Amino acid sequence: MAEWVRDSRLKGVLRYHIKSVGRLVIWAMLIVLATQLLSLLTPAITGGQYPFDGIRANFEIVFFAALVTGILTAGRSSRFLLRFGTSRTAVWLGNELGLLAGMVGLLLCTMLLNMAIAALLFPLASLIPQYFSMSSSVYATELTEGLKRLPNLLLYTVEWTSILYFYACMLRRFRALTISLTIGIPLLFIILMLIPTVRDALEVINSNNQGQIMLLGMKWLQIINDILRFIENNWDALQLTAGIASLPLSYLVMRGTKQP
Amino acid sequence: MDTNILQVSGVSRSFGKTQALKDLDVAIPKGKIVGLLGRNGAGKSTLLRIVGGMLKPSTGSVRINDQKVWDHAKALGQLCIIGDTPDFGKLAKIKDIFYVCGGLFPAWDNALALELVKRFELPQNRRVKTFSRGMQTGLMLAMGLASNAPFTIIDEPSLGLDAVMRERFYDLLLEEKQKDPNRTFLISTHLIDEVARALDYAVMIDDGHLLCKGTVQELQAGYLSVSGDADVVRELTADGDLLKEEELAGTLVRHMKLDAETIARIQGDARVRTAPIGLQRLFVFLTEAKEAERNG
Repeated sequence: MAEWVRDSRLKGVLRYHIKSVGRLVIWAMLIVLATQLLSLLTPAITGGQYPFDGIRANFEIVFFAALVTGILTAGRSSRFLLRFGTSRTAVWLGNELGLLAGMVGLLLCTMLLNMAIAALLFPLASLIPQYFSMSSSVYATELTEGLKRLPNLLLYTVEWTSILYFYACMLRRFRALTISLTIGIPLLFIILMLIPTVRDALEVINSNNQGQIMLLGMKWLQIINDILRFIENNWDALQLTAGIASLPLSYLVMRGTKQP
Repeated sequence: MDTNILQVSGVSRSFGKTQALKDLDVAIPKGKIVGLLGRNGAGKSTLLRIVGGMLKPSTGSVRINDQKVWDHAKALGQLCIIGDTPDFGKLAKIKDIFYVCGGLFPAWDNALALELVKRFELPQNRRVKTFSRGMQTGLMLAMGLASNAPFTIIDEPSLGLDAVMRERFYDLLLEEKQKDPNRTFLISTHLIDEVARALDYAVMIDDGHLLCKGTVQELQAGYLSVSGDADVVRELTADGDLLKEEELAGTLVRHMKLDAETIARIQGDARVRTAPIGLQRLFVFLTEAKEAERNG
């Protein structure tokens, strides 16, 4: 194993990600920090209270960062690493580990930053009480809530980083197909749902039967409701399955990608 | 023990209807500076991409130290490839690049890398994307030399480098080879005269085929340029294969392929002057002969 790690140059791949993904994480944190600091100024503009929305890790930012970093890693970074004669297995493994570490790090950093911003509200509340408010009990409650949600968000981060890296690998290898599917599948769902609905609705409207119109509306609402409920009930399992399946799939797609 | 570091057997590769390599067999001996020589489009870069595991051959096999190359960490671990297009990924500064190289190449020599940065006159604190093409090439060459990889491949090392830097690179290459005689360098280029002084061994390819291979002395051994009075030159070289004939200021020059006995006889004849044929001219003659053969 130690011999494989040495020969495969995994150490170099990881060092590359410390530099490239690390830089992106720092940039993302700077943007989040700037946004938070700007939001502290909102009471001065609106004249109201600072809209404190709790202490939590920003999964939305991590999701966006994972998409951007995944695309850069599957493209330019992989090409750079493979060009020196690094094995594809090592590049794939290093990419996955680098992205996962980077995104988990980013999630934890957003949590720490939100804790720090919330802590900053204590002195601000005593200085400008008309704009800011914060008490030890609120801080403790919000922190407990935030920490309670953190393990789930960490799991989502790992799952979505894996899914988005697979998506980026697909985009690199089968660009036209992936873009077509990204746009086409949601469009297909809409069309499949809309066409019968519109047809049925037109028939009912033509027949001028108010009771039937109500019944039809209820029927389609029920179908949509059932689909949404199924997704909601099984969302964690669906996400986990997709995340696990993305690992070998991204390897297979990346392994066969031609390099310039 | 196998004396070849690289064994390419029956390798073909096509891109659509274009066949870049056609049933190519090449062996690269260990511990030599080897030139992979050929015209633009001869298939050199395709061969290097296959050797570096970036491209799969359509048929045939490529082995480094008797191990298959494709996605094989042990075989690829021996290798450092410096491509003809500078690429530093998302790394911005020389120190970042060397930090990554320290992890990629187990025998990386950072002190040497920094020394080479000075020798190539590269600014250490500027972002590499602001470097000129020549500077970027210099940095790539520094990475290749400092990698200390047992098998180092450099594709078109002189692209973008000025004459002084090109000469400096070949000096550095010879210095590194002297420090570690077991290292093998494969230099791919179409500028043959320039690289000739550094080479121990040469492989010439043309149109995806192997043209010839051997040590520089072996390749040049059967070839001779003979000049002098036209009738005398013609008489002395009547038994050999004519590669090219030129008239220069009333003197006839014939570039010939001859057997060893005839070469010794001609060299002993005071009526004519003789000279070995340079690697570049030899390559041109052989390529032209092959083209003429292909065109019937």
